[in-house]
Amino acid sequence: MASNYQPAPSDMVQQVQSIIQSYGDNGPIRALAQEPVQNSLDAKHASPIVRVEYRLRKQESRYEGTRHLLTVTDSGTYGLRGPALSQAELSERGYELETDENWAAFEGQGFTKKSDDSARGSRGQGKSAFLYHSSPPSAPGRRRMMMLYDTLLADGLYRLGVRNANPVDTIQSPPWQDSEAEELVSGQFTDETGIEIDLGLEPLKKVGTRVAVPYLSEEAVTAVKNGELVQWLRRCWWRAVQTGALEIRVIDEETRREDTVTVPSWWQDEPWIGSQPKGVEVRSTENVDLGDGLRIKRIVLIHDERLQSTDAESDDAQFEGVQLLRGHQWITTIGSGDRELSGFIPPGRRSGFRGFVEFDQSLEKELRNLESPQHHKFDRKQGLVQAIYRQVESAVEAFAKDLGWMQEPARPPTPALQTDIAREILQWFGTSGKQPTESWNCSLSLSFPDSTVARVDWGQLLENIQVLVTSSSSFPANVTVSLEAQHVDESVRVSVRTDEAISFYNREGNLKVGNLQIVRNAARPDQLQLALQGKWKLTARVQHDGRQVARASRSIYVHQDPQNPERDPLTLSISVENQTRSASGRERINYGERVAAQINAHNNTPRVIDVSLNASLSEATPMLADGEPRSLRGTPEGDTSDQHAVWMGDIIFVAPDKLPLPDENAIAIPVEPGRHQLNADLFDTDGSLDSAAASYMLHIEVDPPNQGGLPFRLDQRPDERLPRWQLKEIDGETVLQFPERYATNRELMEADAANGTERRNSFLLEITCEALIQWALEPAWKDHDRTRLDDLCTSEPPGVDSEKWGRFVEMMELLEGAGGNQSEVPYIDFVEDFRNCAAHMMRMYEESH
Amino acid sequence: MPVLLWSESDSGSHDDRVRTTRRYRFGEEEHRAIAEDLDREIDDMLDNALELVISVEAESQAELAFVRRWSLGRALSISHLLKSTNLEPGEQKFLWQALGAKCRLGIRNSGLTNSSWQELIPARESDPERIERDVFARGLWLQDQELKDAQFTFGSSLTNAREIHTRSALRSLKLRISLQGWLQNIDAQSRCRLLDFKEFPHLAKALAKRWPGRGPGAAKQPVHYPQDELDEEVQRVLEPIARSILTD
Repeated sequence: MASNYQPAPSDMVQQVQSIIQSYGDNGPIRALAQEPVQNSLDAKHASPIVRVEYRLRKQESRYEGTRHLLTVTDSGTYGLRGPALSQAELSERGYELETDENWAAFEGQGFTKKSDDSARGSRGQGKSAFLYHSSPPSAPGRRRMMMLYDTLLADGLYRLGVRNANPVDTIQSPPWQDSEAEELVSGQFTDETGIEIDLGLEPLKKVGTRVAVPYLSEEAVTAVKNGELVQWLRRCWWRAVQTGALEIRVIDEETRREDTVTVPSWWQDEPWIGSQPKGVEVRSTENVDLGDGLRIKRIVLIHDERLQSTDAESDDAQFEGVQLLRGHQWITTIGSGDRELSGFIPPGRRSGFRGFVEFDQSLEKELRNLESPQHHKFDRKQGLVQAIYRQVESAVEAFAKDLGWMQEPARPPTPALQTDIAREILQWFGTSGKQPTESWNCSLSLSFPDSTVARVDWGQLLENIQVLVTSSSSFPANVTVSLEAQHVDESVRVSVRTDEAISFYNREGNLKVGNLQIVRNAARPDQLQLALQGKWKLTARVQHDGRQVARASRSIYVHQDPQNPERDPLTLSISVENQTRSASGRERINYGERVAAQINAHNNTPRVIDVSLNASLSEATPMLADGEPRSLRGTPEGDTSDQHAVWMGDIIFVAPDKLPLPDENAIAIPVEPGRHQLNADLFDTDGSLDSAAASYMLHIEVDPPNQGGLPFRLDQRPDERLPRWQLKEIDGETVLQFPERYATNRELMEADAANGTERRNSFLLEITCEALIQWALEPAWKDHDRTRLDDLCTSEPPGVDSEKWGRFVEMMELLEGAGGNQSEVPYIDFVEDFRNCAAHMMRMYEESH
Repeated sequence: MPVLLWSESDSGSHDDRVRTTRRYRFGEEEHRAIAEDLDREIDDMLDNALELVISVEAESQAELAFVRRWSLGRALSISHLLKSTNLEPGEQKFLWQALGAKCRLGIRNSGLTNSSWQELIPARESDPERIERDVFARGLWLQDQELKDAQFTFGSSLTNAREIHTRSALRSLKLRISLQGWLQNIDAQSRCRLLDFKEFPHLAKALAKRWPGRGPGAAKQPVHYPQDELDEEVQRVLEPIARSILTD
């Protein structure tokens, strides 16, 4: 037996795995159901029907125990026609093949082309679908794959080929032919490593192709035995079966079970033709013109009451929605609960709702180019695909109206579009999905002539001005610092330093400015001209590779006493980051993941305060801090307070009955799965000030209720007397409730719809901004807990005007003081500040979108 | 942990289905083998709980209810069902549902019935969340103490136990030990008065005010104290309330 394996230039194992993984969930079995049949249909003969047979054979070996062989055989096809080409021949032809050169195309992997688009095997999906499920014995830690393929052609030529991925891709070249091939097929085959594979197959009697997968994976064996493969075949190919173009059988020789792929009950007998039984409604829209001679052949929708109670995971439920078919093949489904259709189909009707769309020939040809190589989705960015989706939506809307669904109150309380808009706003404001990567921090220190007040008079010195920058990278390059003073009322700006490069050592860099004398007139280098009386902001900005990464500000009152806004004397906040997965602490935390926590305090009084800190994870032990003493520097009256990190450390949560992993740099806390609150209390040791508290909810080994860590979800309430909006805690979840029929809501939505700006829903934008202020500030007002406020204020969105963001932070801090229990700010002023802040947020958001 | 969820049809026949949060391809039934094993373990656990109940003589209906709840918790604890490697996070709710259904229907894995299991859970609480919270979780919590100690601490009153259990910061065993110790130093008549279900809530409220579950003061809870310090603090908090109750 001559054997000459010809390597093709790739790590085939990795390539196959990556191709199959790209199918997503259930990919390997879907690929096995879709690709072989697709290849067979592409090679369809003039005969009216293509037959595909999946056959599972159990094999026993004295040395290897039980294994399985899967064969997939087609008939009604041309078989793998054309010459077997060597690498040299392929290269000579520039990897260009003729339409009927199927053998060479099937042996090619990812690089062959054809002159028409019915390219059998040109993209490698088909071969991967087989190879992935083969797992022959291999060296420890290595994976190999193998497939064999034989074909009988109309001229009587018989061929057998072998493909090995070990992990390099090799094919048998030249393939075995005629009697030698038939002998190997019906007997035993010895592979390149000496493994003997008992094929024992009957040589093909009909023109066609057979692919054999030895050492079939457990996953594929199970899928054949439990019917999952049949389900996928039905889902993918029911329409081709219905039109009589295809017949598929799945045979398990061991159990003698034989399944023929059938048409789902609701599509049997093409119900769009003729009358329907009671409880079944069908509508068909034919020949929908999309322009340029492209047409949707048919959109068929059905509602069958008998299909009401499907299990969400059952096969029938996979059909819920409208299937898009191309070439009689299922490509994707627009789900009845998806954004496009959910507004038309009441939840109670969804399980009984089905539909499919098929296209005319010219549109099918266009769509083939807009389809993923896995045949499992269309490119939604393409105008043609969007037009199809719009037509489907229209047809479903008309169907829903026709059946009286549009009047039903069962419409979901919060339409998907509204949820999306709110999600966009919340994400933009950085309260969700914040993915900490490289972190930067900046502080600006200086000394006033009187350390208790942020005032400097002309002729006096601001001393020891310094910008300190910290980075999570040890030695970041291209970091510059600018320092600028700006008068808050007159918008006069004075540059102190511009783009000065700083270098880093041990994650820290600094810009030492030293002492500056404040003058009214023209300044020398050691002076700073702040000619206007009143409040100035001295702001340091840090840029890395031209992008602002951190900023810090101090307030300076020139020749004037500060107008001190009301502030809580002591505040506390907690920040948490999952370091193992680089995720926000508001997302799920799993056992063993390392979480960095930091507890920060602000002292808003001008004096030094001695405090003690308690911190723990609800009822878990050990405590993180038990009465630990800290001393907090004072904040000059009128100035912005410094943040003091009063506790920082890494925590690893472990199961209660598991011994913690030894880790000197992290605290192990045994804790049950669930929601746990990280609590911190800060007490003024002389007892003259209110204590401050902060808390941070952690979700350990469970998912947070608001997916993606959103601070709240929207709940549009029908027929309820509610205020314009309200934040409520419901079962541990924060919910923004608003009435569906609120007058301005309706008017603004209609106005947006008329202007074609639904996605700029003004009402939602306004209430989401207002609720976000409330959400961030409520714990601060109640417990002096700045956790949410800090979270929001430190999440400067990319692309936002930095000045405006700084203004927003100031407004939030003003509200923090004005809304507290002991605030003496008149309510009317507070409300005005609140509205101004929301308006400012809306402006920032609008300008960035 | 896949469980068997039993139900009763209108005709009175029993049926079961597998429930799990595990991934499955074709249906939850794929996990039936594990669910059946678990169902048999539950049978043994419930039998054990009944035996524990029978071994105690209760003087009143209230005391019997307390003993039943404690016994169910102890049998659950001994059974190691909750420590099973098969139990995945999030699956516990199915276990409670399955337990609740088995008790209510008195149905064994063999299909035979044992109506005495129905006594282990209150007939009126059919809401699964309440069954979980009020029956199984509270039973497990009660059995942290030996039966006699738990009865002494709460005066054999489930109502009193609930006053403490519903306040998450007060749930630690340390606090119950301190409470028990404090009560031991009070004469029997006064103790009886303080453990009256109308008076005990005042004690629970005072403890909750001292150790709130959230907000200021939540960062150091009873569980974080050394036992002797906690004993002193409990006495300091409860003495004035007790004086006020006893002098009324």
